[in-house]
Amino acid sequence: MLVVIYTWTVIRAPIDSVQGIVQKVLYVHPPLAWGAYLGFIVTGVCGALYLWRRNESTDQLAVSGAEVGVLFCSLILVTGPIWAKGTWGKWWTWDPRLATTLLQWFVYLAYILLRNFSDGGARAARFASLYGIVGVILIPLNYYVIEIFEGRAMHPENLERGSLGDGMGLPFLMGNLTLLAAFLYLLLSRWEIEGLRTRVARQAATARRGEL
Amino acid sequence: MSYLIAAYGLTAISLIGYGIHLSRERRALGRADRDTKTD
Repeated sequence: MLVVIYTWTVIRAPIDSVQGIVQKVLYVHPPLAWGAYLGFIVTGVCGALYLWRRNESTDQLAVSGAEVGVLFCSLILVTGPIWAKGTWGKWWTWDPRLATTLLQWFVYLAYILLRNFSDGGARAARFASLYGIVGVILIPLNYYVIEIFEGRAMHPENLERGSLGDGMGLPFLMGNLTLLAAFLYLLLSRWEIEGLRTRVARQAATARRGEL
Repeated sequence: MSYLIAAYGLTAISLIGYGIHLSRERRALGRADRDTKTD
């Protein structure tokens, strides 16, 4: 239902007089960025909780946040260049916002690789938690980088209240709601899988020990 | 228009594809969980 309303509002949204129809990428690109930020915040916060309480479930949620966050960040890096090609005439430029987004993607991709190629023990989880907490620093840097570079950035400034044109608020809101719902669904599914994986691996290990 | 279709299409395919992948894995792990319990 949400997807239908979202699609309808995007189709009905007015066409921008400067950028043309490609401006409608606005209704998907920033909501994806919020999803990526949320995923990485979940990783950092759950990493901190894991270091504090040593609860395995929070570590599993941290891994899930990173994976879903990287998916959303990958989609920012796909939809952004598509929008850039339509408005700037080129797919990529080493603008500070684009560069920090790519850096963020690499940082969390490394987190996922670390989790997949480690032994899955408590030591790896502690190191990954610390890594996830440090990685959160990139979020405010990525968000405020345009203001830090004071007009030298090619990427438009962050949206503020009233900065959208007439009729653009509703599709933007629907985009945020739809992608937030998708984010939560994927995050919770991934969390459940992480718990199941651990349980099945433990049961298999116990069964092997019983056979010996 | 093609840029717009590409942006929305790739986003939809990726999110739906990942969702399907997760639900398949959840089902398979659920089965494995039940099997090891009955064993």
